[in-house]
Amino acid sequence: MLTEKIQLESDEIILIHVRKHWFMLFTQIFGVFFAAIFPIIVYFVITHLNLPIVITDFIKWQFVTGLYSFWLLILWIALFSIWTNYYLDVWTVTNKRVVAIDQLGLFRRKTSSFRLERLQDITVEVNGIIATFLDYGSIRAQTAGADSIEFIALGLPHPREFKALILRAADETTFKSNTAPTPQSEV
Amino acid sequence: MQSMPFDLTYIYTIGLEGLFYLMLLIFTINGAFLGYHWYAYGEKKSTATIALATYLSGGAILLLLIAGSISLM
Repeated sequence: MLTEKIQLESDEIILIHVRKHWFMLFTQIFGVFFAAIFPIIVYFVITHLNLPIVITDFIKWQFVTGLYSFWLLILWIALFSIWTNYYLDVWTVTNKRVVAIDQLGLFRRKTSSFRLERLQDITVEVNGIIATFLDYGSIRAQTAGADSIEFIALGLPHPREFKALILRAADETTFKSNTAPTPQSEV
Repeated sequence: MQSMPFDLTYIYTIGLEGLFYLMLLIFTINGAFLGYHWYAYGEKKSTATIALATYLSGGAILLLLIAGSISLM
């Protein structure tokens, strides 16, 4: 499972697993739902407006039911692919590092991580009315060093709290590494 | 009314049957891939099991509906 794949160190503790905000999933599911009811709307429009299209005489109801079930099955498969992308996109914060897992497709998966000591800056962005009311936004974490990398997560819930948690964990890690006894050099 | 030179019902029954087997294949392969991902990379085994059961049962109902409508044609 997920924790086995991350391969935690012996004294590493998971602080939080964060997925995208439910609204991100909702917008995609709403699209699938609309696609599911669209043929019904079209059917009712055709039958109620008495359009000059011969449907009832030519096509049997079994054919329509079968075709609509095909459409629903395609949408059912799409729905679970959407949910899989949502479910497997995770940001994990431990007391030592941040692991960002990005499920880009069924066979495209990007796992990146950075140690908290290397964290230089975190930026939180909340754009728009819905994002403000539902409290979700994007987080950009930048690492220090010559090979500075920017980690971006879009649509995370409670981004300010998440930023605070990462900064707190980073502060604790830095404090521990600074106060740790240094090995005595041999004379 | 003049009859058609070929039976249209027969043609679209064959077409639907072909589509049915194709969808059954896609549904099964996709289910195997999704199941693997849920169990391998998911957070909990219980969530993966519930998701797989929902995917299979919902899909089975739709496949039965398709099979039923083809056989009634």
